[in-house]
Amino acid sequence: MDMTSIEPAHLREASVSRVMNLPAKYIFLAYTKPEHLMRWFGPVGYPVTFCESDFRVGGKWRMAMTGPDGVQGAPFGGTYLDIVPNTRIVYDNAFEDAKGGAMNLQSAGTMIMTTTFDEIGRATTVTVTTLFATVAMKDEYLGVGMAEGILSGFDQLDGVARDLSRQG
Amino acid sequence: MPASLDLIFNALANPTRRAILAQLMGGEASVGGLAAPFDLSQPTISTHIKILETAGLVTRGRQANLRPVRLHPTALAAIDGWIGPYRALWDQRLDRLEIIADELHQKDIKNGHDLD
Repeated sequence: MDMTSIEPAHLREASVSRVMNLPAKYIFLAYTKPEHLMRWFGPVGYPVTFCESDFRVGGKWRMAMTGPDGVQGAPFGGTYLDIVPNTRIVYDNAFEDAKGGAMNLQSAGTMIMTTTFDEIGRATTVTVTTLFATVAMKDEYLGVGMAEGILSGFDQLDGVARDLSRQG
Repeated sequence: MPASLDLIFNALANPTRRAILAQLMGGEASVGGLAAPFDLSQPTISTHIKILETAGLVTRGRQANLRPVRLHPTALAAIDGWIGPYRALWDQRLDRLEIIADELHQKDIKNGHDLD
């Protein structure tokens, strides 16, 4: 049985949005070429050190990042599924090894990433939505965040508690 | 503290329980009210709430009949960041994407190619 087909999409999604005071075409442009992608896609401390991109529907993209240890991680990449200039880019994304490269994931699978550019006046809302293969995969990706979020929450509580004890 | 952290992680490792917490961010609710959006029986929801309560993420009111469920105030700060690193990763990416898009825009203006 294919578990992915019975889990509703809305339970497998996560989104972030940003309003940029720029025309959509320049933000779109920053997605279209490896030289630009390499400068923004890697997380802080994990720059993209390898990038190939055949930016057309059906074209492939492939990247690898290098961590602070200087070792290039397992490549990841996928296929451009839909491209509407200055409006929408859809691609899938998976690690090439089953464990999700350095992330050592239990439920590595394919994510579908949809980026929309919604230009109103001179501002553009950029929305990135990740559709995970399964709820388990989403939980694992966000679960890392959940654990860290809670721990940082406790750090904050610890600080608050210490302030209160000083006042007391 | 380690024991209660385990309880919290266990309590949050379930999409229904996270959805219940998300609902409670809008204010306290009865068990029946919490069960309504889910295709689950009231006893099943009660079991989820019990797990959240044991973890200290929610408290129950004292009124004998309703016993409304509410978020435990100190747990709010903790659960607020559960999507943190995923959001932080994309926030960082979008910060840089904006800088690069702005450079591309400025370059076009300098070259007299800004046709907008």
